[in-house]
Order: sequence, then C-alpha cells, then structure tokens
Amino acid sequence: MHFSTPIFYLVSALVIIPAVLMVAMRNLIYSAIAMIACFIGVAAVFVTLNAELLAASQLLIYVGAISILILFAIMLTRRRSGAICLFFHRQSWAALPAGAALAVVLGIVLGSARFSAGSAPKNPSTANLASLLFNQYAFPFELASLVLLVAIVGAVLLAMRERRS
Amino acid sequence: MKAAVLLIPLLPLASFIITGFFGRRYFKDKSHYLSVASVAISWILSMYVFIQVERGQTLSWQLYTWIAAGKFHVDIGFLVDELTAIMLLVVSTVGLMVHIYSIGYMHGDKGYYRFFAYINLFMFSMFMLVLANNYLLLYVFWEAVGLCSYLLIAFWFPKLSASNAGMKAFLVNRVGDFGFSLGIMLIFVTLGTLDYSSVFAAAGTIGGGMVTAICLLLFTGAVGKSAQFPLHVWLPDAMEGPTPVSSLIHAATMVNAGVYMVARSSPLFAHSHTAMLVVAAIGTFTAIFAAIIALVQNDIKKVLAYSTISQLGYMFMALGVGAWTAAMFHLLAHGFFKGLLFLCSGSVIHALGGEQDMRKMGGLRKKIKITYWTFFIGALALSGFPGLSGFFSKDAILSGAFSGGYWYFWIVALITVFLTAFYSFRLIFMTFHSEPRMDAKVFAHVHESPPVMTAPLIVLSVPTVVAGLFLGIPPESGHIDHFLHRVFAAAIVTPEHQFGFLSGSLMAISAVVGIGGILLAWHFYLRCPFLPAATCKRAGRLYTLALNKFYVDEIYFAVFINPLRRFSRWLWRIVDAGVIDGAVNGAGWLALGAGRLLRPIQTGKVQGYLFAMFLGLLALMVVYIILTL
Amino acid sequence: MQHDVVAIVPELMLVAAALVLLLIDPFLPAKGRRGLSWLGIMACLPAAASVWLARSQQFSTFSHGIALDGFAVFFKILLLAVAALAMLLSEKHLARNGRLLGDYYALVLLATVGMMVMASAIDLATFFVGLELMALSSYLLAGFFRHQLRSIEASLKYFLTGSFASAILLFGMALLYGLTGSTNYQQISIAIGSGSLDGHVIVIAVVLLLGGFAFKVAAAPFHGWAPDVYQGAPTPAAAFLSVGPKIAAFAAIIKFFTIMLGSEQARWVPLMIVVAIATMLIGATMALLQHDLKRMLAFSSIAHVGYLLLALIAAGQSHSNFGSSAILFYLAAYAAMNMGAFGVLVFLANSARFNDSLDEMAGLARRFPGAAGVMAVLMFSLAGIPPTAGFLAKFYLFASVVDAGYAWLAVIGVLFSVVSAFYYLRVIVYMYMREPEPEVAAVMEPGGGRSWDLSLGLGLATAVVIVLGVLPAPVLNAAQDAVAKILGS
Repeated sequence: MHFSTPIFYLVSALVIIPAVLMVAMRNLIYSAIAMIACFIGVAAVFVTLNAELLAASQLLIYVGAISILILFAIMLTRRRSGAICLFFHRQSWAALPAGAALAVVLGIVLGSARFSAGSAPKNPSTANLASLLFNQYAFPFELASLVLLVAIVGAVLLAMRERRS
Repeated sequence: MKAAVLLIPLLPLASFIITGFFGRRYFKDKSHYLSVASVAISWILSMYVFIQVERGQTLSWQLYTWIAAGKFHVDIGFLVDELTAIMLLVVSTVGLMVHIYSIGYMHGDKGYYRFFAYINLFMFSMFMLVLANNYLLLYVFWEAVGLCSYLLIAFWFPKLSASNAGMKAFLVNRVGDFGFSLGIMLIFVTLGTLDYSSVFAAAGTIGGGMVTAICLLLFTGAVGKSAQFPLHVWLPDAMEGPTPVSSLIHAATMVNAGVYMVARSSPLFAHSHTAMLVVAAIGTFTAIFAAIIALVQNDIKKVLAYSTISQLGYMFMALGVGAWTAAMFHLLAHGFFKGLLFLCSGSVIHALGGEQDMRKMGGLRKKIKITYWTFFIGALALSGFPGLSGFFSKDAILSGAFSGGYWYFWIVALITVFLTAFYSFRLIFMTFHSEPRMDAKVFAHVHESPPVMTAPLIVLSVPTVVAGLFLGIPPESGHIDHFLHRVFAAAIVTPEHQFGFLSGSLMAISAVVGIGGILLAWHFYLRCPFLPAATCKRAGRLYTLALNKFYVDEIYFAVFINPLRRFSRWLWRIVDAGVIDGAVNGAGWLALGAGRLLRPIQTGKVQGYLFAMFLGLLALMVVYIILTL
Repeated sequence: MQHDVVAIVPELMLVAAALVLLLIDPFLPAKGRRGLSWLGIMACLPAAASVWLARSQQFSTFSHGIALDGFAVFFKILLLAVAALAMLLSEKHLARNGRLLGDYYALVLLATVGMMVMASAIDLATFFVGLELMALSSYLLAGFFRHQLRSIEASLKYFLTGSFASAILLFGMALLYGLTGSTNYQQISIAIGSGSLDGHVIVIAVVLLLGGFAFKVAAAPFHGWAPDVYQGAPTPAAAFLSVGPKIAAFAAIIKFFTIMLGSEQARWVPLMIVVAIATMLIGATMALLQHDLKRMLAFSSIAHVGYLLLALIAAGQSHSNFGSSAILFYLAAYAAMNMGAFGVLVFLANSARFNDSLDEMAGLARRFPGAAGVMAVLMFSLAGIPPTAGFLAKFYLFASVVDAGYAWLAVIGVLFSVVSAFYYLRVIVYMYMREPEPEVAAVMEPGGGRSWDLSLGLGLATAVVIVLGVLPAPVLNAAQDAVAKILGS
C-alpha cells in the first residue's frame, strides 16, 4: 500500500461533508460556499493521486472562475433562498435507506475489486497528459470545443434580451 | 390468365382511389358507376379464372421479392388453385350483387361516395387475401379487410353505437390477430419461409408439439375473424353498419376468411390431431351456442348475425373432423344464402323505414312479395330443407362428422340443425306472417324496394336453390368433391366411400330434423301464438341467459377491461403521480407567472424522476444478485 | 492521413454549416431569416453524399477512436435524414412563436454531429464527448421557446435528469476503464473476453451503463423526463428529440452490449429483460391514459423502446445478425412514423390555436383531410398494421426475438402491441368518427398554417412509412449489411 492511500481516503471522505452541506443549506450563499469547499476538496483528492495539473486546473477553473460566477449570479438575483427546504423532502425517508443500500452494494463490490488499470499506474504528469490529449485523444479534445460552443450559444439564447422589442 | 388474376384485385383498387379522391367533388350521386363497373369486370374475370381452373390450369406466380433478408425470404405473389377459385366465385358474385343492391339501399346517403370507395377497397383486399401465395401477404390483407370492416361498421359514426361497434370489432380482432401473427412468426422461425408451397412441403418435418402450437395460433386468428366463441362478441355489434355491408363482409366473405385460412393450411392441421380436435370442438360449441342465442333475439339483423356465427361454427366443425370439402361446400352455399338473407332483411328494413325490431313487424307477406319469396328461399336453405344448397352442404358436414367417428359432434350438430330451422322460420313468421304489429301509418307506407335492390335478391336466390343440386350430388363424391380433391389430397384422413345406406339414412335424419324445426316454429308462431311467451316463462333463467347472450360481453368487461383500466390508473397514481399535480399547478403557474417557475421542480417531480432512476439502478443490482445466488 | 479526414468529412460539413448559420444570423433582418432552414437542410445533403461515397471504406482512425464502417454509414445517413426532416418541420412553427433564429438550426446540426460521433465512436472518450455534445444541444432545443414556461421547464428538467444520467454512464465507463486499462471498445472486449476480470465489478459497470443508456432512450424506470420534455419542448424540437438521441444511443448500445460486452451477455441479458418488460408495460399502459397527444406519443415511444430492447436481447443471445439488423430497420421505420406524427401536430399548431389535446382532434378529417389522412397512416404504422413500415418492422423484430429462443418475450411484446393499438386507433376514431366540440372547432381555421416545406416533410415521412412497408428490401439489406460490416465484431 502506497503511503498516500490513507490520506486519499481521508480527503475523499472529507469532501463528502461540504457536498452534503451544499445540498442541505437553506441559504443559497452558504450553499455556494460549501460548493467552493467541495471543489477545493476535489483538488486535494487530485493531489493525493499525483495529478497536479488536474488539481491546478480544478482550482483555477472551478474555484477561481465558476464559483465566482455562481456567487455573482446569486447576488444579482433577488431571492436568496429556496422556497422550500429541499433536504427534508418527504421523499428523503425513502431515499435515505435506498442510498444506503446502493452505497453498501457498491462498497462491497468495489471494495474487493481488482482493477488491472490500477496495477500498472500511469504517470499522470503534465507531459504525459499533454501527449495523451494531443495524440490519442486529439479527436475528443477537439470535439470538446464544440461542446463549449454549444454552451456559449445556449447561454446567449437563454439569457440575452430579445433583439427587437 | 395472369392478366386476369392481376386485374381482378387491381380494378376495385383503381376504382377506390378514383372514387375516394374525386367522389366527393365530382361524382357525388354517380359514385357507383365506376365502382359497380369495376366489380362487374372483376366478376367476369373471376368466372374466367374459375373456368380455367376447372379445366385444370392453376397458377403460382411470384410477382416480386418483398423481404429478402439473409435466410428469410418472402415473395409477393399469387396462387390460384381450386380453393382460390371457389373463394373468388363467392366473393365476386356476392360482391357484385351487393354493389348493385347498394345503389338503391344507400341512395341519398350523404356518404354515398365514401361508401362505394370503402366497399371497393374491401373488394380489393378480399381478392388479395384469397389470391395471396404466402402467409405474410395473407396476414397483410387479413388486416386490411378487417380495417375496411371497421370503417364500414362505423360508417354511420355520428351514431355513437356505430363508432363503438367499429372500435369493438377492431379490438376483439386484435386479440385474434395477436395469435395469428405469433403463429406466422413461429412458421417463419421454424421453417424460414412463409410461402404456402414450401411450408406445406415441409409440414411433415416440424415436430409434433410445434405443429400443434402453430396450428392453434393460426386458429386463434380464425376465431377472431370468423367470430367463433369466445371472440364472437364483435359480430352482432357489427350489425350497426349498413345492411349491404353486413351481407357482404359479415356474412358472405370476410368472416369466411378464417375458414378459408384453416382450409388453406390443411396440410399443417393434418399433422396435429390435437389442433383439429380443438377446431372441431370450438366450432361445434359455437354452432349450438350461437343458435340458442339466435332463438330469442328480436332484432332481425341480430338473429341473422348469430345465425352466421353458428353456421361458421359448422364450417369449423367440418374442418376439425377432416371434412375439408364439406366445409368449403358449406362456405360456398352459406355465402350465397346468407348474403341473400341479409340483403332481404335490408329490403325489409328499407320498407319499414329503418325498423329492425321483429316485434314491430308482421303481415308483410303480401306487401313486399319479392322480398318475401326470396327471404323464404334463403330461410329454407338455411334450415336445410331438402333439395336446396344448404341441405347438401350441411349434410356433407354431418356425415363427415359421423363417418369420422365423431358421433358426439354429430349429435350436437343435429340439435343445431333443429334450432336453426326453428329460428329461421320464427324470423319468417314474425316478419311476414300473422298480423301487422306496427303503426297503421307505417304499415300503409310499406312498399317493395326498387328493382335495383330486388334484382340482386332474385339473382342470389338462384345459386341458393341450385348450387347443391349442381355441386353436391351424389353426396360425398359430387362435383365439388372432385373439384377440391387435389387441394385437400394431402390432408384427407378418412378414406372416401361411396354413397350408401348409412349416408342415405343420415341424410334422411337431418332432413326430418330440419323440417321438424320448421314445423315447430309454425306451431309456435302461427298456430298457437300464445306459446312462445308461455315457454319463455317456463324456461325462466335459461331464457334470460340467452336473451342476454350469456353475458359474454359483461364477463369480458368484468374480467379484462375493467381490471386493465383499474391497473393502468393504479400505475398512473404510482408512477406518474406528478401528472395531476402538474396539470393542476400548470394552470396556476402559467397564470401566476415567472415567480412560480421552479415550483413544479420543487414539488418533487424531478426529484421523483431522479429517485426512480436511482431505485432502478438499485433494483437492477438486486435482480442480478438474486439471479446469481 | 487523408483517410483520417474522410471519416469525419460529413461532421465537418455540418459544423461548417452550423458556424455559418451562427455567424450570419445576427446580420439578417427578421424577414431575411426565412429559408435559413434550407441552409441547414442543404448541408445535410452533401454530408449524406460524402457518407455514401465512403460506404465501402472499412477502417478506424484517430487512434482507434472513430470507425468508418458500414454500421456508421447506415446510422449517419439515418441521422442526417432525421436532422433534415426536423429542420423541414420547423420554420413556420418557429416563426409563429417569434423564435425564427439561425441558432435553432445550428443546434440541430451540432446535436446531429454529436449523434454521428456517438454512432461511429469506438472509444469511450470519443463516445462520451459526442454524447455530451448531443445532450447539451438537446437541452437547449427543448428550451428554445424561452418565453414559454413549459418549454423552459422542459429544458431544465431534461438538463437536471440528463446530467444525473451522464454521471451514471461515466461512472460505468470509468469502472470499465479501471478494469481493463483501455478506453477502446475492442481492447475492452478482448480484456473482458479473457475472463480474468472481476465479474462483480463488470456487473456493476453493466448496470451503470444500462442505467445511463436507459435514460437516453427513455426506458423504464429512467423514462420520467420524456413525457414532460416532449410536452414542453417546441413541437418540432420534440419530433427531433424523440428520435435522434434514441437512434444514436441505440447505435452505441449495439456496440456496447453486443460487441464490447458480447462475452458477458449471460450477465446483462436478464437485466435487459427486466428493463424491456418494465418499459413496454409502462409505455403501453400509461399511453392509454393520456389525453395530451404529445404525452401520448411520448409514452408510445417508450413502448417502442421496449420492443427495441427485446431485439437487443435477441442480438445478444443469438450470434446471428438478425436481432441487430431488426433494431436498425425498426429505428428507420420509427424515425419516419414518429417524426411524421409530431409533424402533424406542428401543422395543427401552425394552423390554429392547438393545445395538442385529443379532443381537438375530433372531426379533424373534415377540416384538414390531408393532415388527418397523414396522421391516420402514421397511427396505423405506429400500431403495426400492414402494409405500413411499422408492421414490417415489428414483424421482423419479433421474429428475431423468437429466433433467438425467446418466444415468450415475443408473446409479451406482441401482447403489449395489441394494447397499444387502442390508443393509436383512438386518435383515428376521434379524427374520423367524432363530431368536434363547437367551441374547439371555432378556434381551428383551415388553411391557416400552410407552409410547403412542412408539407414536404410530412409527405416524405408518409412516403417512407408506406414505401418501407411495401418495398422494404433495400433498407433491410442495408441494415443487414451494416451489421455485418461492424468494425471489431
């Protein structure tokens, strides 16, 4: 067992806390802050996996850009909290045991799993990543630009005022 | 001959297209010109084909390849043999007569052009059905004739009962067709072909259980289309359609498609004793069951409808006991005389201005003479009066059952002969004899139908009288037996035997029973008119049962339809509970505006969907765990 | 190197057309946007031609991420036809709702690019990006009428549930990668075929993949979004969304389950049976209750997915191409009839104030004989009544199920299709055999919504439905050919 393994599990477990808080908070601002904490936690998980580039981009993009955008969006809209508390929805009584059951099934199966990809760890260095991205996965990488294009078009379509009014 | 075979269906199709598209605007009350002309030519061509076949010329013609997918291969093509020729004869003759009759009957109807277009479409489909050379093509036109039949049943759709009857016919037939399509699929999968000749050539190689399964599934289709118990419920309701339709589709042609299909599949059925027995049992039961109901019905068309069901039951009994030729013989004879009877009833209804209840008829004998006499001839044939076509064909079935060793079917069939004769003449006596029971004003207006309607009656009564003499003498080796011998050669199980003492006495018995039924009806309805009411009171519960058609409809509602309805509502509440909320809220939030935009999302709908997905995943995993344990 | 580009030329054409549409749209006056749809439609034609020209090619490219094989050719042409038909149906409807924008066509084209990538991908990463491209465009198309709350609501719901499903799918794919160390279908297939992997994890991965795909094709219990989205989305967009994503997803499903997980069929077939039966049950019975036609069509399409899943079971079970080719043929027939049916609703919505309810169909035959006739043909086809495409597709499909040894499943399937006949027939009964309510009739004015490209689209869909029923051989052969020429099988 690699020395970073316990740290990985610890950090991963910690990430769940802000994730739950984000959904549970009544106040949207608190939710947003919990979300930022969650993003940072995910960056930490990447660090424990030696994926420094991913960690850095996680911090830059998610924590730096997206979170700020969302905070602005929340502050610019008038309503600050949801009308109804989402967490203790009547469905949650059923959802809790079901979630637990799914977690148990997944935990049992995946806990004892043998992953062959894990046995020969790939080096997630920046250079390696770049070579993968621009060689083997060049096509999906380029295709992702179209996804971004659609996202921009969508933002314009949904948010922009009608041109003639 | 190829040209003739191609033109027989295509002419009505062309007429359908032209009349259907241009009828409303251009033809209007002249819509029948093209229609009748096309069917008349088809009739002449059918006669020509019949004569050619009689001279020994048959045709098997692949037109083009429909499905050629790997090992599966279905052609579109025609098969013309003796069986086809007989069907063509019935379909084209009755079809032509009904077309001519409809000129008078439908005169002035605002859907005049529509009627002729539909009925042309039906003729096309029915011709194609009998000409098809494989099961898939048969199925396609099997559905197509059904479709035309629903269209025509619901022809007067502003009447709610008419459109409901059309719907019912469609749905009940779906049940039969469900089995039929599975049967065809099973043939497809076991033999890799649907072509008649290859299927029948390979019939012996299918395993015993499989051939029984195939035959029973095919028979399910026949049960639906030919209105056999327990799927007979649509046919009486189908009487909501115009009477020429009842005559053509629901008596003489389409309902015979089931009989034709089973007869066509005789090489398959011959390999399954079980299936044959089922066919015979269902047929026999339906014959007597429907005859009992027919005894007490008061609607003139309903009596004839139940009579049709009962007579079709006879044919299936004949098929089931291996008397293939007898079944086809009866199909032919029944096609003529039942078509005639329906047209006559239409003439009666026409004369009375739409009245169908026999309790409000009577005494019409003198007023509408042609209708009366042709009706009388038809009823005699139906009762099996010696010398008429029905007598010979019915006798062929009875002796087939008896000599095949199925004496129990024979007894039931004999009782049915008696009942048939009784209700036929109950119909005659209630309608035409005794005192008129309608308003004097109505009675004064009673008038004979125009020649365009009575001429088909007269024409159809000719084969009703003579068909038996021409085809059926001597019994069991008459003209029709020789004609059809080649088709059924592979399937005939009982050896042919000569007309002898046994057959002669059987014939005498059935003649006596038939005449007995007529006499009893006479006794009941003319000599002692108080007797029916008294008997009904005596019969009590049985009478109520028969009057209500043994509550089959009600049972279906209670057992199938209502539970299905309840089930889907239940499912709706469980699975899609959000819908009501959504609809109720929907009106609200559209009015209240953007403030409530997210409300439907927050009232649990999306969470509900996500939760369902989540549970789905869990359930799949659990299913797997259970399966591997 | 030139081969590499051949594989994606059609996609590039669509992207170029989409960019042109996005760029010129802002400079056009409102009236000048008339006919923009033809730019999109015309882009589909050369794209289809380039696919056709490459039909004999058989290779993989982009580091084995994209396959150009007979299978991809079949699906690409089908998807291009669907996209063109969707654009034919749209213009008038967009204009009537004040949203005649080039962006709409650009989104349709980009979604089609995503679908085409999904159909030709042989690598998990490529496939997933294609999927997301399609999904994101679909969410936007559903919400394109942003001034209508129900359209926005549909979009939001689609987005929320869709993201959830993508996550599930991605988790399944990650597990596969973790097990096999590769994202390439073929290598995954080889690794799984070796039999040395952890079977339980494979099952979890299969369940997750199944769940994700079940969402994309709207199979129970992952179907909840479909009625809401089809109902809320602009009707022409609903036509596209009810067909396109399903075709693309089934292309991927065939590859995933019969090739990549082909050796594991003993594990996934029982699960698929459960999903298929549940889907048919929910689709057929729920459609009975609907009075909104778009919801009815949504549940009916769920039922159709159930039949398709049956064929998938057949494809997994028997090692012939029967099941897979049945799926391909069924998809082609389904695309024509379902889009046609939605197209009729578009036509009616263009003609008058029409709220997609069954009651408004009463007496339609008298006021719109053409539209009613088209709808009747399409309903008969959806119900599987000969001689339409729907009949032959269903017959072929159920025959493949029987052939694979699942006669009892075919019986269940045929039984549900008997039930389904009821709600299709009900539409015809309303159109031809019911008198309209006077107040409804007053709102519908005949002749208001003629637009010849919509009529062309409806005519084409109807023609395809009839031609596929009468002369199916070319498409059937193409389907079998496509399945035979699937790369990596």
